[in-house]
Amino acid sequence: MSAVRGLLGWSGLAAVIALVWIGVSAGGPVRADVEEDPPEQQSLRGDTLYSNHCARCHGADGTGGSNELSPPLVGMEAARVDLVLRTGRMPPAREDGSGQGDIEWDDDNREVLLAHLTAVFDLEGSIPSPEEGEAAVGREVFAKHCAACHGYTGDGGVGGAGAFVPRLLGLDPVTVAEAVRVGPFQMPRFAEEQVSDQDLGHIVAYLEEVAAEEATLLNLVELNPVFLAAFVGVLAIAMLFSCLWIAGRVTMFPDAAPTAADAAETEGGDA
Amino acid sequence: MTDEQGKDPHKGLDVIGTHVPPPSEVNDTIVMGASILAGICAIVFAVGLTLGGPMIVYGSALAVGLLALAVAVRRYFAAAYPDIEGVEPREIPDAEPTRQEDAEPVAEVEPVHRRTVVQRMLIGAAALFGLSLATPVASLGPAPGDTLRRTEWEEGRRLVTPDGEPLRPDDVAVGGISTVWPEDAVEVESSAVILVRLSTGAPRPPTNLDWVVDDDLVAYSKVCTHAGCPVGLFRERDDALFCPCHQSTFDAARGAVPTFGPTARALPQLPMGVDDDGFLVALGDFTEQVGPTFG
Amino acid sequence: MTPLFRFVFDTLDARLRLRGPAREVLNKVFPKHWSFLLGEVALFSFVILVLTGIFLAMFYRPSDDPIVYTGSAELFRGRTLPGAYASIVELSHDVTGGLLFRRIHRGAAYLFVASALAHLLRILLTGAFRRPREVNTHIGTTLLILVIALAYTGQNLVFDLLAGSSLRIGYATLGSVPLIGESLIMAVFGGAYPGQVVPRFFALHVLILPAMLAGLLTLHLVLVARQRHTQFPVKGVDAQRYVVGAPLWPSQFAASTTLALVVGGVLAAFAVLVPWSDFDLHGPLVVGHASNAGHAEWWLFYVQGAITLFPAFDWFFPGFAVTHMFVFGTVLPLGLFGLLYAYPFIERRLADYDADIDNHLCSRPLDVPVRAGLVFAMTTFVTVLTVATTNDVLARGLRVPVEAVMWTFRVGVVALPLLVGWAAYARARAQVRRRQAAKPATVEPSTKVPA
Repeated sequence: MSAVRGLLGWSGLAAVIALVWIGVSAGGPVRADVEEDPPEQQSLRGDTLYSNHCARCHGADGTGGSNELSPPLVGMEAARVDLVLRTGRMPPAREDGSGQGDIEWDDDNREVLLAHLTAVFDLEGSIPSPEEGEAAVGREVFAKHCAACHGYTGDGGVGGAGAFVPRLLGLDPVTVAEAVRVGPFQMPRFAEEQVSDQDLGHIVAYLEEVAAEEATLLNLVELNPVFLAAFVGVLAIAMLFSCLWIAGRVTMFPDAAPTAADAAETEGGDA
Repeated sequence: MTDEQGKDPHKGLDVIGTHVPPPSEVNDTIVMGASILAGICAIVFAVGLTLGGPMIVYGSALAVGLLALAVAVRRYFAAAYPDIEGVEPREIPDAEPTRQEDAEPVAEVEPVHRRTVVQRMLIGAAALFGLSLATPVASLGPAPGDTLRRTEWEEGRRLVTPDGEPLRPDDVAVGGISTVWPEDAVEVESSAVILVRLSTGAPRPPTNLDWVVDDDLVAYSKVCTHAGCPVGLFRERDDALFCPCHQSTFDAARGAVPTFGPTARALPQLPMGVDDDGFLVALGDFTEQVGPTFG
Repeated sequence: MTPLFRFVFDTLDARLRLRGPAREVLNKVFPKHWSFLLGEVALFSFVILVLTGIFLAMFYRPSDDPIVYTGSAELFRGRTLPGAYASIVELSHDVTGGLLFRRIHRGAAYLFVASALAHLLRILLTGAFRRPREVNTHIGTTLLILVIALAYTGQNLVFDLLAGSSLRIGYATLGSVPLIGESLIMAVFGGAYPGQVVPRFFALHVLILPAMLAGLLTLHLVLVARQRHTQFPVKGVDAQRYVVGAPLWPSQFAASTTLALVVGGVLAAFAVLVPWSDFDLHGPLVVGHASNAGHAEWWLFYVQGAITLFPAFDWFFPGFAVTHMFVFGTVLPLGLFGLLYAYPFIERRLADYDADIDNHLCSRPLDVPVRAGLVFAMTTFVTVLTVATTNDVLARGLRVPVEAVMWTFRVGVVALPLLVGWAAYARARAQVRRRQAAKPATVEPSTKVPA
């Protein structure tokens, strides 16, 4: 009897855990169902996605909204649309259009939406796909075109007037390629004559090499002089404590001034 | 001078306090343990380095070994020797400083015949010679002339990419930038130029509109007029060139006039046009000094 | 003495008459205080720099002529690099111990500058620069200049992208000197940027500057030995007449040896944990390109802060110009060092103790109000300029436009030093008054020599 009860108890627990697990996974970022649909179904799905997530700002007919962050989509570059979807900037988290999006577009949904928009709003151009490149060549290309804004480690920096240059590590290759060609927000655009398609592959290879760079025990890779200065501070404090330990004194400054009576006492040794 | 230990205060030690540390087994254990650890680390360091081992191994061995040896040394001396407080007399200055005339002469031998003029001539010659030994400094570099104020740009020189390829106006997209050099003078620092296709439309005065191609393609010297760093950042929407070193900002649509930061002069604009083959060329050298103002 | 040591010593003594000098040296008395060890930290850093530097010099190629790198580093294999940079890439990746010794060398350089500055602050705040030690203080200030020159030449020998900006700004600083600017550039660089800077900086960094430093350092230590160390007041002994402390053998020897080992150990530990001098991602110097988020080394931050913060100007006169770079890149740092040289004489004028007698006592930082005010104010000034250099990091971290950060520092660099200096002065004066009121009138202040 107790064995059966034990078995029931454990199965029940397992079931509860499984249900909670499914619930938690399902309750994460909004996800539409992932299925293989026929084209009409896909177009319908694309339309639904657009109406639910984009139309409020960009307009049902794609003619745009009132502020800078909701431009007209008609005739826009496909790469630009794909970029803002890939990086999660669109749709934004807040009403006024700011903040990183809270909708996680998986590849299927994004492609469906993009196909729909291309058909309906005549998006131009294609999505770049960078080829395999060499990190060593990419380092030189990056230094000549990208490091001035993104820093030699791809860590980003400031661009002045409230512009912040983002970090480039951990991005997928197509995102990098699209950003170079599109020049989103304050970033300049680089045409093929300046940064060739082959160069895009090299840049991606370099960024992957940077991400894989061997870190020290403290998980540090090459540091900016400002952060190095912070570690110099730590080094200096370590040495200060060492001096305190070696000199063997606790008080910082001894507080024993000689009085006249002390001076009259025996002064050690022969004068 | 006696070599014996004795009363001579300059050789012996005048002790005014002694503290003898009690024997301590704990301390001895620490010294032995630390010494053994230091010895092991020394061997690991030496072997690791010889075998080309991972840096973390021989590096840590070096660090731990040195620190362990430090502990061992300190603990040993603290226990093996008494803690002595001694005194040593300083050199006491005279209560009354001796007057110049009464002081002993530094050298005992005085001149017998005073020859002031001759002496002064000798000293003068020696001084002149000494000063003249500074002249090799002039050989350290060529006379500057105007070498540092001229660039390699001249009429008819094509603008080329860092790879040496000449450029056509269409090669630069709207809102795009490119670093360019004079043909055959790539990476000659004074001649760095940044080519910009403005995204806000045609530039305005004080940009020289005769040197603008395609109504929105303009070229400026890339050498910042503050301290000479290459001005490589471009904020496309503001058409602003931004120098990463000290945050000098230049308005590319208005003749690269400084709008923020520690620079006082605009970036010189390159006289630019298109040659018969459709490539971008310079129409002459810059008309202002490139880079930071010389003193 | 162990039997072997005794044998060696006796043999040498029979020929060189060592016993007397040895006794004198070993029985020399050293006052004990933690702040007296800061100079020794600098000394041991220098020794480590020389030792690791000898190793590094065996591999460094003092030329920027391009060569093709064929070693193991993924990011550079098969690429053409300037010779100097390529040799350091080889050292870091293809030589065992290369990266460790490079990091120790760079860490020791940073520690050398930091401990020299801490030592200078100790000398200033305890009044150890007073008569008869003005000469040695000036030698010390000159040593600080040599240390910074060594650090600058060393950093730029690496010839990476950061060195490119550092050299270009040094070039602009030289050029900004009125009338002789361009000639100075030619003398130092031997031509237009980048010129002959690699072989020249190599000669400076490896031969000329270390020799000058070693010579002056020896003189500095000889003078300390001759004039004997200053010390804090001690109960029962007149510290103006006698040095009180522990003898060289065994106490000071033990302390110094321990300190040397700790300096080495800590530098080695930091070399494993912190990538001090790693530069693969910087890449070599490429003329015409610079990186965002680049800065000078930390000991030059105050100069970078000065040439960033203050508003722009170029004053043109017939035949020459006085530029922003000259005033804040040259005059300001030279002025600060000039103040350091002049300070013993400034304090003579302004302080209220008798400055014409020898003083061997250390005072506490707030004992002399004028000194407290000036030193605190100048230290705050340099600190604000130093922190101002991090304006782009602060802007990014706080998500605030960098222009706003700059304006905050523009106000701060004037306001904070005045505030801190005044506060230190007022507190010091209050403290001195309180102490004088508490003391009986017959007792002389400890800074005078009893008659």
